[in-house]
Amino acid sequence: MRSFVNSARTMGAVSAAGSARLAFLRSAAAFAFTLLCAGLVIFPYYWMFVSSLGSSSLFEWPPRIIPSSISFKAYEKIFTERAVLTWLTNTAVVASATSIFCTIVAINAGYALSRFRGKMTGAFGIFILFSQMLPATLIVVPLYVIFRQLGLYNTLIGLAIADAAFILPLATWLMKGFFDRIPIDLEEQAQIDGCSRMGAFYRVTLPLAIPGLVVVTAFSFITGWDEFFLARTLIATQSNWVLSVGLTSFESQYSVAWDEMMAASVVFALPAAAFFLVIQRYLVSGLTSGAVKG
Amino acid sequence: MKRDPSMAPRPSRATPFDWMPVWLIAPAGIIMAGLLFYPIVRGITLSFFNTRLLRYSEGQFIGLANYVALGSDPAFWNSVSVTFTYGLATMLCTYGLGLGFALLLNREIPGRGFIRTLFIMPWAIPEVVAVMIFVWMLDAQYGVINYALVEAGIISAPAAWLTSAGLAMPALVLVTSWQQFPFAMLILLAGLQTIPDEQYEAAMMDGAGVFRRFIHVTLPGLRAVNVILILILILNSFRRVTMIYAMTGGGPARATETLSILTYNVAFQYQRIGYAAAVGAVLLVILLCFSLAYFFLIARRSEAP
Repeated sequence: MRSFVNSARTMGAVSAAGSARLAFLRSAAAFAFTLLCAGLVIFPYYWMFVSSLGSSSLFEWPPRIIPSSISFKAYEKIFTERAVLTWLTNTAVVASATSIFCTIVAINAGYALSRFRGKMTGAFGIFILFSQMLPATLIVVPLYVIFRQLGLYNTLIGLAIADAAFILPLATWLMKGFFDRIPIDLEEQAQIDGCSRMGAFYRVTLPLAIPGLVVVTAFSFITGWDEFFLARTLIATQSNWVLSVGLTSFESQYSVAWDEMMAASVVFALPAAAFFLVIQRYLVSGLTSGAVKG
Repeated sequence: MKRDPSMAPRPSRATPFDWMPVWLIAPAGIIMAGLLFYPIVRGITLSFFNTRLLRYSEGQFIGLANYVALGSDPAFWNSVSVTFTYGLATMLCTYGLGLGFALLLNREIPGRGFIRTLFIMPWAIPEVVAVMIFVWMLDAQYGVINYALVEAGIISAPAAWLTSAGLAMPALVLVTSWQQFPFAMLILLAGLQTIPDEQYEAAMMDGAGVFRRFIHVTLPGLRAVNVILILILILNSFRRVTMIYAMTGGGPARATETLSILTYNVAFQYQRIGYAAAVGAVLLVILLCFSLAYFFLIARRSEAP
């Protein structure tokens, strides 16, 4: 529309054919520039892949932008010589436990926030917003002490509980957003037909909220999968590490096995990134509904 | 009794107290209270004690001594300035990239959905992986960024980004804004789409060029979004730990030690968790001031028609 107006105006001034060509050239240049920017933005992804495949050409100057040979040696090595499989399993366990736990709790709290307007739900809403402002390190230092006292330190279940607590506020807020979009009339109809209020929630509203439930489950799974800081603090022994922590162990004082590090990065990042790109659309509308309005 | 169909059943004076929302909220409330708010309270309490990590039970109440000591601690003041430098620099770069790419995407271009996804991809990557890729790309010997900069004539020889005090912060800002700009971009894109086309057309009728249209139509149209986005970006960078900790751990020579990282290092490297809690409490106060500004702005906006 805008470019149409633009070209329509210039058309009056210059000859029609010339200005059409000018407009085309300008939009082609803009398009090329956009592509160039996109290429620069995703270059780190490309470099991660290339470096994970090029164990022989890695340490060369100038660096080879297009690898001369491709080898999967690094992938083989990280699974045979390093504990990547153990860390991957731990990560999957923690992320699954986190997301199941988080979703179940968030469904109920999100429903209450969406359907009950009162002093208590209002206070809880403020509680959630406030929790997003707290400095994580000030929480983690006492949490470390508390976990040691409770025997949760260095356990995967402890880590999953801590992860869930950090994700819960956002998960609840997202869930509330999804419930807000389901009309309340259906529940009221079900109650007239003899359903209890809880029954109306679980049997009528919840099935309709399944897309939202999937997004919240995926969101908490990804966040639990990616998490590094709590895992670094609350887990001590190598056999209990998650992959995000294990990844940093490839860096030693004097040398880094970059091909292995990048191969492990691919293994670690790919499932989370793919998942994230699928649900990203729903996340943005949920997370920005407060920030962008009319 | 007439029921308002748009409202959920709620207790009136005649009905007894409604327990249902209590049961629904209780699990989330207990978890958040126990694992987020109780530690904060305990952290603030700790800041009045001289507790050390390994001899936790021997900590003694020392009143405000930790806070007094902060005042004359050069590491603390260094962290205050590093925090604001990092916050401001990441905010500017993230916002700049976000706005630039939002403007590029806010046009009718072929394959817009696909290109949009390409631009969002950095946001999808785990922070630790983003850090590792950039540490590799910035490598002093074989780093591809060093190569590109040397080839472009910007620097004369490959630089050791992460081990020189002056270069670690720019490197950190680079990773942070690469990973975070898609968030800003999406919010700004949504904001751009609320600016009516007629305003651009009117500006064009007045003979305004691209630049003047940007200054007089685009920026004012984004004002409401801008204020909140900028505050969120600053708040997030004040609170950020994973990225900084994984990339530099606060070094070299404290050049990237924000208050968040200082809290962590004092607690776990120097074992002084009482003192660390005092640093964290100062950060909490700073964050609360910014948050109050945020809530104030949100409240004022929702009152506006």
